[in-house]
Amino acid sequence: MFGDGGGRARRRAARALLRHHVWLRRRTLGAALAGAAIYLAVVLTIPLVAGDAIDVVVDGGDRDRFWRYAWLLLALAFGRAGGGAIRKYFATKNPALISNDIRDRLFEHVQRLSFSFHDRVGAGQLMARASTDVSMIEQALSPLPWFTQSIVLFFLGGAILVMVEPVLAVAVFGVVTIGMVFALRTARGLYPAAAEVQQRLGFFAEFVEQQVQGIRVVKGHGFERQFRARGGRMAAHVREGGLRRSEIRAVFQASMLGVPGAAMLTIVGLGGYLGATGRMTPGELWTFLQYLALLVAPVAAGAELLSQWPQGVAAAERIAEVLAAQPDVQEPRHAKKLGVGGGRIAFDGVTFGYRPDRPVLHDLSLTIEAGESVAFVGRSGSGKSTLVYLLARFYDTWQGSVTLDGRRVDELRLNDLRHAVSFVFEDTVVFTASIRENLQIGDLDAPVAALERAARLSEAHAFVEGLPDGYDTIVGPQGYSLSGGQRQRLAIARAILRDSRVLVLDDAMSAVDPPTEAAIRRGLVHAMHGRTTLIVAHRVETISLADRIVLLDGGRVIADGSHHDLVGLAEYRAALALDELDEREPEVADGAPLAVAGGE
Amino acid sequence: MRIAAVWEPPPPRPPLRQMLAEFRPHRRTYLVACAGVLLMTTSTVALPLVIATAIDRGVTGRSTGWIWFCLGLGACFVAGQVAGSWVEYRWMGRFAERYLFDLRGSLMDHLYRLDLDYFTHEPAGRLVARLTADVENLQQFVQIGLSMVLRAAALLSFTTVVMFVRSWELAFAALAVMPVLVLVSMWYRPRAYAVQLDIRESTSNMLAHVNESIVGMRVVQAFAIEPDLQEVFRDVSHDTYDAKRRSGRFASIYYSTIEFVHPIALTSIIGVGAWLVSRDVVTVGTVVAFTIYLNRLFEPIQQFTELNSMLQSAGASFARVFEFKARRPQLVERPGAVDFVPGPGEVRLDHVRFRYSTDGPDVLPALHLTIPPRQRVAVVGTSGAGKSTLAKLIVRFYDPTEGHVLVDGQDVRDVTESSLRRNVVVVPQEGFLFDGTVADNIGISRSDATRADVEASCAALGFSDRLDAIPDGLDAIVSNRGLTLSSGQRQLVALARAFLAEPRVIVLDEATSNLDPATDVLVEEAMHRLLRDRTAIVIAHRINTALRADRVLVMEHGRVVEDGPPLELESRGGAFARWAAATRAAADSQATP
Repeated sequence: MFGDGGGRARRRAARALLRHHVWLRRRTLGAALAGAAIYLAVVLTIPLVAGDAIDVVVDGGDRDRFWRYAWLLLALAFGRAGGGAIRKYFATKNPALISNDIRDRLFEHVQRLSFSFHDRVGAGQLMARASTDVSMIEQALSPLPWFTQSIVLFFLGGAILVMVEPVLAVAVFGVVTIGMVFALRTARGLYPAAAEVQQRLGFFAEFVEQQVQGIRVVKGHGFERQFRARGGRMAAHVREGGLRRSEIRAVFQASMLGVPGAAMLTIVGLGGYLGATGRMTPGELWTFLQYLALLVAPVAAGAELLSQWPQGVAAAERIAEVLAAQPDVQEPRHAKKLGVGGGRIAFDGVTFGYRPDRPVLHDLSLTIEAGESVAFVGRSGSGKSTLVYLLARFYDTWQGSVTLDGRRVDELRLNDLRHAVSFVFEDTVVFTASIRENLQIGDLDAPVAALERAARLSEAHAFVEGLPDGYDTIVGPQGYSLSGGQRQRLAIARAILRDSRVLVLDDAMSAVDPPTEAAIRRGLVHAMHGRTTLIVAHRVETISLADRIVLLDGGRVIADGSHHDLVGLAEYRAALALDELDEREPEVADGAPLAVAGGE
Repeated sequence: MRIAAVWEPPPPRPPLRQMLAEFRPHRRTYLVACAGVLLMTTSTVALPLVIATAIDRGVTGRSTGWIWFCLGLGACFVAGQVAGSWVEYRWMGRFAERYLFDLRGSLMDHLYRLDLDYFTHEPAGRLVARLTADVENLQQFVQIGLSMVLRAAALLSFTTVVMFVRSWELAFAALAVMPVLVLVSMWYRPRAYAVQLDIRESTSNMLAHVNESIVGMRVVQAFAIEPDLQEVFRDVSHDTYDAKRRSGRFASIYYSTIEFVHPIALTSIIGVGAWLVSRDVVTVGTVVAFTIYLNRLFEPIQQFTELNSMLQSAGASFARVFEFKARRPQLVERPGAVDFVPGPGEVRLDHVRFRYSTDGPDVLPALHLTIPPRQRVAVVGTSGAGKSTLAKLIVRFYDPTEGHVLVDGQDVRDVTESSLRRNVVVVPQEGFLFDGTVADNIGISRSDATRADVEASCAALGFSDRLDAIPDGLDAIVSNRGLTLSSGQRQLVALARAFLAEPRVIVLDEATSNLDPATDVLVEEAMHRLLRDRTAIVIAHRINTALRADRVLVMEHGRVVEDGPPLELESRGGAFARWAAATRAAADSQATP
């Protein structure tokens, strides 16, 4: 995904992660193992006691002796139930706790990681870490107590059998071991086959999602037949993968019956021979049969569960990788307080870029007075948005400094800085929550009046009132779906509500239709009063909100002034496509200008 | 802030008969698997009898001959187990994969048949889940559950029968504990199911919270709400932990009861057995065989619980799939529909009346309209005036309530849908791209399109140079629905796609979103070139688009209130002039903030 480090280092990190989190929850794990130990002791005793009881039956049934065995078996039944219950409960609780811990840590860490990380690693990737990978770890850890118990059972049971009848014990164990090796080898093929099916299912799901999203195009052009064929091919792929998986599974399942079957035949043949020649009692033979049921089945099923272990380690590797990433933007060690101020901003000799050898901003210096409103204009890639990102310290400069009201931004607590600068991004995020909650991100305890005022200023109030539940309407990806323009209006309201000393509008009205934009601009004039406002925009009409325009090109300020000062510059005209707009004008019947350049 | 996860509880299970009817076409494969199950279970039930004989005749009777005989017989039964099990899994796998393949196919067919309307009302995620998550969920039931039912039932009944035949006294001794097991299962099953739902619900809430926080990370950090989100996260993830812990508690009670009952039953068999052996009613071998049968009885009982939860969740998926399949499209191809014969491109609406529901108001009351070939018509009006309804009637996304829609003299209801859509193309607002390259996305509209054709259509629309601005030009890989391209580039690709289809008639819904000025100019030019010499119905949002048309229709409340060339209408000072003025005023207000 990112970063480097060889496979061994990655595995080591993964193991360290697992060890650390298992150790943190050692108490529940210990409880589960203790339960397993009780269970184990009891379960190993039962066949011995019952075997003796059977010999009592064979001997003709001494009633007193039988009742002694019966009471003993009842006590053992309680022990078996108790030990089993403890193991089962804690074996569920322990991995649930561990997965919660890991997820919590992951979530906290991801929230701390800077924009540079999130630019590189998509949301889908991180989501896979937090959901699938954590569940894989949980699944891999769940059978641990049970598996440990089965292994111990296998060897202790074996030891007991050797004491009962060494020749038969060795023979049975030989058969079981050979069978088990075979079964394990088959089980190893199961995981890749299953992973292959999962991957193909993923492709199919992607395809379906795309069809549903693009159904207007599909139907509009009559593409149904073509895409149906493509989908059919993908489904056939899934089927073929599934068939291969079920073939392997069939062999595995058959061998799961074959192994105890072969062992049973060994007991019947060799054990029967030993019995017929008087070297074993029926009770002893029975003990062998009982242990067989006890030993083989769990280890066999364990083979399948064990195949989840590599998946768990691989998942831990991927999680460890995210946790190893350090945020570029760090909290200052000795943070200073941001004093009162009106939002004076100074960029001083700032050089910055997203990739090591490609600076986006070159030695840029610029001062913006408190309360001023400044628009940044330039072609895409000229560094407009980058500049405003540096102010909120979404990234750190390579050289030079950014100061807010006399303090370097990297000396301030991030929380203070980001409360002082409110952002409206172009691609606005609305969370699945009520509109009220979405707006309150700006100010958690804003009163209703302030909320509505902000919504009015951003032209959101009217459409919000029209929604089924007004401000309590659940919007966002899982809720009522809003248009891009409506989302942007909410984002503006959110920023206004925050009442910061600096307001940044980063292409904030790109999805709003022109009449609404005009209305928002009227609202913004009020909202901008008494604070510094930075505007990044492409459109002349948006830029007209600003007192001052800074023209950027190739990461440098090439002009700075009013629209009148700049309108003659070729770069300015190009950035706003003024000439192309002019060219269109002759088509307008009455010659009314389409876009009026500048409002001074 | 707490993410409101919209969790849907699963629907009730549809009748078993309806579920089983689904499998009928594949019953042969299933029957082969059943034969495997029978072979496996009879062998399994026979094996303890072989052991009993070995003990009675061989060990007690001191005869090695019987031992070798039993060994040979036992080997046959073990082979039967292995072979039966292999056949079962192999054929159940085939059965499941074939059935699910057919199901996916039929769901896809259904998806493409559904009216467009359905897609606007149903959240996309839910539709996608019908074809993916629900079908995958059925996999487990179809492949494992169906044969597990049979295996458990066969094992349980065969074992019981053999036990009673062999010794009814011992059979009662072994089965005496069964009521306890039945009771504890009855107690456990509903609880296990409910707590599973809790786990699913709380997990989906928790993941929704994580997902939206990550997707919105820029906003989260810009507004410094990380601590708030972390706190909510702890809350929601504690809910999942709590549900899991409860499930652990129920499961531990249930399983430990079974663990408890097993030695009791064992003791009861041995005790009763001792008494019966001393009276020569049964042999020692039989007692041993019964203790093995006891294990065989406990297996299926434990599986029934697992099976129950499998059945519940498969039932829910079936219910959703059935509900989806039951949605009938309103627009169906008429039997005997013929292919559309392309003509010059005349569109005629003949006394068309339209309403969405039978008792609703008319959206279009009696519309009569002829658009001659190669005329470009711009339709303007406020939202809700009926513009897009008009467009949808022409391409038959809706059928008129009364009257006829004719393209080149052919009623759109009389021709096949695919042939109609190939000749009457709709270009929706936002350019949607499929996975593949940019060239694939353009070439898709003609099956025999070559690279040169694709390039030619870009050039014809005047923007090939602009697509080169994407690092790999036409070969750029489009992923994530085209979001790697700018919205302007996406629109250009959509226009080229329409151009390559060479339709006589185009219905175009102009995009309202704002592009950066340079791309905006390109898109407008490409649109102009695409529509040249074609019959075009354009839903116009911008003044320029309306002015470039040959004819403008102004719609109000479903009626055409003005109809004529744009310049003429504007000078008339009526509805169009008002619309034009309002649209301009919006643009002008930029000047005076």
